[in-house]
Amino acid sequence: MFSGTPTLPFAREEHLSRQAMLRRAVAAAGFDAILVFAQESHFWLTGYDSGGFVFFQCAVVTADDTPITLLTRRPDLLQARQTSTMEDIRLWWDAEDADPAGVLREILREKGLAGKRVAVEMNTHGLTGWNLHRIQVAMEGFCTLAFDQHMIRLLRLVKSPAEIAVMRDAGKLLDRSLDAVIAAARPGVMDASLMAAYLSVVLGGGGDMPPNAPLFNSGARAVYGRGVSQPRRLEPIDQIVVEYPVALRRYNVKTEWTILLGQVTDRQKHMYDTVRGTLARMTEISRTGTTLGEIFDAHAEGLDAGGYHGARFGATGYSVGLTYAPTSMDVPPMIYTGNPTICRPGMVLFYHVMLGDPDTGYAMGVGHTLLITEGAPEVLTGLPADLTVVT
Amino acid sequence: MPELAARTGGGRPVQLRFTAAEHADRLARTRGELATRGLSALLVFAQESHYWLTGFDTSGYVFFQVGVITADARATVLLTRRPDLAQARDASLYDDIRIWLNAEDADPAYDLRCILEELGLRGERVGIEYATYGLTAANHRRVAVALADVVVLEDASDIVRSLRLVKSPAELVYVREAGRLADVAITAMVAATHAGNLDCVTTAAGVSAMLSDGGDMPATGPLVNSGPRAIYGRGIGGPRRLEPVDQMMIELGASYYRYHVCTEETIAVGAPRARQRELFALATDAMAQVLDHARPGRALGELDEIHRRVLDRAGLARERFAACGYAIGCTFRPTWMDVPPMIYAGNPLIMRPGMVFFVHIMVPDSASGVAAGLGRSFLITEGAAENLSAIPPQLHLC
Repeated sequence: MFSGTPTLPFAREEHLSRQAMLRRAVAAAGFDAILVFAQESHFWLTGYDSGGFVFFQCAVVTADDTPITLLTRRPDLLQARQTSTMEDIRLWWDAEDADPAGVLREILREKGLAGKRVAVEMNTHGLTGWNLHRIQVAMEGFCTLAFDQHMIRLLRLVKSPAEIAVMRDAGKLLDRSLDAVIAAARPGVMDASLMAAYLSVVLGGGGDMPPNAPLFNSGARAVYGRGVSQPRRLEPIDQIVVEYPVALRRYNVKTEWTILLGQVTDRQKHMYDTVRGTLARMTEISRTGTTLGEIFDAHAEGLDAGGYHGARFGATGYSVGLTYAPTSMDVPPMIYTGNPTICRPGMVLFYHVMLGDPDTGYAMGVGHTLLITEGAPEVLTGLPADLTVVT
Repeated sequence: MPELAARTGGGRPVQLRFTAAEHADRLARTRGELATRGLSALLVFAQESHYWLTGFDTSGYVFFQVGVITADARATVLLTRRPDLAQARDASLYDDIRIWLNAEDADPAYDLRCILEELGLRGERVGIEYATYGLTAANHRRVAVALADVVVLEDASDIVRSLRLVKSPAELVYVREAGRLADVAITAMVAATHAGNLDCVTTAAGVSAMLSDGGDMPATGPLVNSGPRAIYGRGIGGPRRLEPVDQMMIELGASYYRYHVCTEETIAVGAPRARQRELFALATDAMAQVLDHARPGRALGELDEIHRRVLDRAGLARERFAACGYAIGCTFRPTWMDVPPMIYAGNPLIMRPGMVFFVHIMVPDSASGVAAGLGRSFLITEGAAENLSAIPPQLHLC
């Protein structure tokens, strides 16, 4: 009745060419294989779309053309078969004496990797410190493990035309959601109902659940840098800072905006002009060849010139794209002072400029997502022309 | 539920979700366990532990973030990034908040080393929370390198986790509210499900209902899988349009103050197939037996033995999962599974009053492509388990 046919997120040829690119990178770095733990990597390479990374789950990709082997748990079996190019799927079963790292070692043995150099994808929530420890114990004396140095993440940094098409659509969906959020903002409603408005547009428009909790902080909490639990009722004079991702097919674009209720003071106006002007300046200089450090410096100069040196954060944005929970920050790279990463066409970055004034408790934040091109950057997410003040 | 005004040991005013006395008791029990194990301090990387011990509520754990709790009563120290400063200061009991700033040569693990030296912990045995998404393998390696010649590290992932397993009366207030929110969401989702709709409209209805009624964003999900995807065990990206005759599996967690209650439901769109009714009857039978058996003093693994027995007798041994549930509680992304403990046959953990579990009987029949499932969260009490959902087991018809 319900027969599933494999459905890949991208053309099979694109997945296969990504796999070939990785195999070449593995060989070039002097490895015989890489142990892939990030769900982002699984999706990008093979299409495999799951939440299975919250447990021990690993794909083994060799430098040669041996088919990829996935080791996962039973709940992930069917979607691994139906959403990915992978055909060799092995299972480990929960039990008091379960030893998935030992099972992984035997898979490596089958593939002739005894005594070889194997990279481990380490910078991922798909590999906890504890599971690394289990692998180290299991592979002791069997093969040599080494840090992969963000190999796949760096391959993912420049997006393909097909990925860019998805992110442009995500940007359009985000624009509709921000309109809905602004329309929902009025005194007397809970700040969480703005979040509900955002999610209704995103989910109703074919988007995914966001990988990180969106930030909808109002009142005194608006100066926080991250979301917190417990909704709060909006007052006649109030402020709300929103920062959220919109994910389509697991690809994220992000926005940040500030909504004032009742009034805008001169101080708030000055804060707004400072952050908006700084964001514009950062965007303007985002050309092929600019370093991320230079973009941070534009952020710092803009806020310092406005008199907000003491209020600024240590980073002003990051790469975005394909990410799973718990975060929509596809890092590295982060945008901080001195980062030598050079902008290249096809990179997608999120910039946000955020101020919290400890004297008044005023908060002001703006942000958008942009694509680096051969010329001027293409801004993928829109903001209103002026500060939103609901009166 | 108002936030509670309190003060840190040093007098800083903060807003908390539990009384300062309850946090002090949790901290004292953690310190007692450290002392029992001969550990001089605990390096806290799990966001659940930050929240439970001090009230600190953030997603800052996606970067290097660590709390230092000594076995004696020295000031507690938090090392985090600038975006987390305000909420750590205003809404946590950490005494001393340190910041590391992103830079090309930033080395927060070295900052941690300096903090341990300041605290006089050189040469001591120190516990560390390894088994958490708050400590990636890459950060684990940085810590191991930076602290190699300073302290002896020992896995202590289980200390706070084990203490969190039995919930306090104040925690149970939030758990029960999460249970109510889960029912609110399911009711809205069933009402929103129609042939011709995208399945993500069902997701939107559930999430909107929870948020509009005072809930938090849940740590993951909801899983809303329809058609051929209903036999999957996990959520998947991308919407799908419901057909005139269709099926949908929902696995949803509602969150209140970060405490989660999970539920699983099956929807038949159009006339349900006979096979789906059969599978759902099996799930209902197994779930009822599990709820009946969930009493204090029994081993947790016995619940999975019921799950296995019912499905294996029906000829579904090759279809079923190896585990049928897990503990739940205050959890952060990427999961609401508060594990260990997982519920698999042979798990010797003894159930005690105050523990909260989610069991789901998921029956994917890959031969026919039909799926059914039922899941409930429940509280272990002195007597019969308290079912946290008021929705009677039913194959929902839309």
